[in-house]
Amino acid sequence: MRLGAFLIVLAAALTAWGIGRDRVRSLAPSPTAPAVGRAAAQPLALPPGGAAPAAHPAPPRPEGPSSLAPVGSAGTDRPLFPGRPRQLVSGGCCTGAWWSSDGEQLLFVDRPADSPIAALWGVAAWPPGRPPEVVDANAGAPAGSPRFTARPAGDFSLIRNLESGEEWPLPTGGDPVLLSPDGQRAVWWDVSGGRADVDGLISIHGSDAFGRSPHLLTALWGATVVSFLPDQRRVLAIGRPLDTFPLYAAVTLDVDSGEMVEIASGLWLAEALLSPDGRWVAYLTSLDRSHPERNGIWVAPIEGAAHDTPRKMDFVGAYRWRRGGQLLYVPMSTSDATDSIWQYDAATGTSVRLVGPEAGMRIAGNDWVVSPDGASIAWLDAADRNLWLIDLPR
Amino acid sequence: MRSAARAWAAAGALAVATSTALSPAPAAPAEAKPFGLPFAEPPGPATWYMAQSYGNTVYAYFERGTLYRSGQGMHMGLDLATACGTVIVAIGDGVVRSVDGPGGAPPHNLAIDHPEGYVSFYGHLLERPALAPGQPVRRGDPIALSGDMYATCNASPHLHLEIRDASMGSAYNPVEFIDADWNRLLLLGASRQDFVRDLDAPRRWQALDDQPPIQFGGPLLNDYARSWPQAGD
Repeated sequence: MRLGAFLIVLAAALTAWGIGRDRVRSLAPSPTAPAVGRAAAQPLALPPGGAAPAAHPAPPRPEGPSSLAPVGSAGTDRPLFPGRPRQLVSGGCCTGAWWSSDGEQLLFVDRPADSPIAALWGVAAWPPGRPPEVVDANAGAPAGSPRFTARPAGDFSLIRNLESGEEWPLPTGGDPVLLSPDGQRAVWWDVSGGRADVDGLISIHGSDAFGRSPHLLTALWGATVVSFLPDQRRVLAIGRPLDTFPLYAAVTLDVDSGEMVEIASGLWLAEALLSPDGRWVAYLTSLDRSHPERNGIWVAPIEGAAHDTPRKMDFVGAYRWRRGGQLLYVPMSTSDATDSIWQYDAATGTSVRLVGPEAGMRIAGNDWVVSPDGASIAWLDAADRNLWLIDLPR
Repeated sequence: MRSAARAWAAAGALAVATSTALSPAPAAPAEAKPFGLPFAEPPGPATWYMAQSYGNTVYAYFERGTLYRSGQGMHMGLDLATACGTVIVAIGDGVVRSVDGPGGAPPHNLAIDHPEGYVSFYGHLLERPALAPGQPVRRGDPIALSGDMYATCNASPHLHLEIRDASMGSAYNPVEFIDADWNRLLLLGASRQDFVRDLDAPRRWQALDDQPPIQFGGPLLNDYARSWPQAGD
């Protein structure tokens, strides 16, 4: 459907409902829209005090499912409407949201008004209009995979499998921890917090998922573990080998053997991100005054003899992987008042714009996440601090 | 100089006319903010970028009892990553208040009084600025060179920039005073802006422009009973 026609349909729908966008934000929860596609995950528990609090009113329904035909559904059961932003929540609740492993929900930690405790909440990506529900009464942060969350417990991290409800302690010292998506291995690194995260010597430890046979893998200055590789045996990490020179390296670390292989290096190398297929890493190098051509965003292959041939991107901005070697990015330097989404294809070296400024996106705090199937992104909007969703063209 | 950030902010005023009912509400046009950015160059990997924001940051939380104790546990300013030796410019017209005066942020610092009643404070400077108290400066004038807190330039070189009141006893969120498109400035890399979360009030102080003022010497604002990440030892 062309945009103009869609606007007419939308206006008619809003008129029929007797609401406008600004008014919607102050409305109490409304009946949920009819379910389309697979049902959203059922809430596991509600916090004491009952159902969804009033501070989580139902978001507006900008698209009437019965009046619009989806244009496709690549890899997902829900219908997709590329280029049409949709508000998921109201009330400004949801910084740092992440997708559930099945891509059905956006998860976030929140404590709405009148709720006695903070909990893990989820809002369905589809259908529109559903208010958020409590997914887990415990507020945890994702731990390497959407399947797992971790929350602090003294010298331990309590790992929770959101699918089974199983929970167990890991002897991490309360440090950041990642679990392999298959739940077999764990890695944590002993940051002490504060400046020491950047400036200190950081030890990286590995074990099985239950903390048996913990062992030191390596120590790097200013180290961070990024994620597990798809082989679920190695992790991608960054850090600098020397305290006295700011040359950082991106390395793979074998959790079982401790073998370390350098993938790329650069001055102040940071912001490393592994592609979903594990073949590529995107990263940022910066502040090299002697070699300004070395500053920028790069994509390097993980395997093979091409480690020494990272490719420099021709954009400066925020980036996330979509699927395979498709890197989504939001340019930082633009005269547009609103943000755009572009896609770089690592295999071909070409870029194409997926979402233009007409969509009205304004991302707050670089807070945006790509759905597991790569079909959609959700972002925290800079104007209303609510969670929004937009489906992407294939 | 018309910085890129100022250009973005000006462009923001056009957003209302171009948005539709389908789109998120555009950002409100920035109210007049008295100050400009402290660099002449546009942001980017080769020049400068945001490294740590003001307020309830994870870094400050971990060091709330040490490095940031005097600022109620909060980060008292903005950390703007930039190579050692980068020229810093005055963010507004004013008069030099002190050179290597009180306020910390070693190895060198500079404070400028502004007619609006505020003080801009520049820390972790590479060398002692060649300015004298009482000397007038104009917005955009080169005033110092950026360094790092260890005076080695081997670890996290950056400018630490604060906005304080005339008594120097309070600090405010520079984002509220400096005319720039701050959310756009954060669009670099793969990480979202991260604030520590008080699990008893997880919505509080989670946005760049939603941070508390700081009273130096006051009680901790972030001594959370339950937090994410959890309290450091």
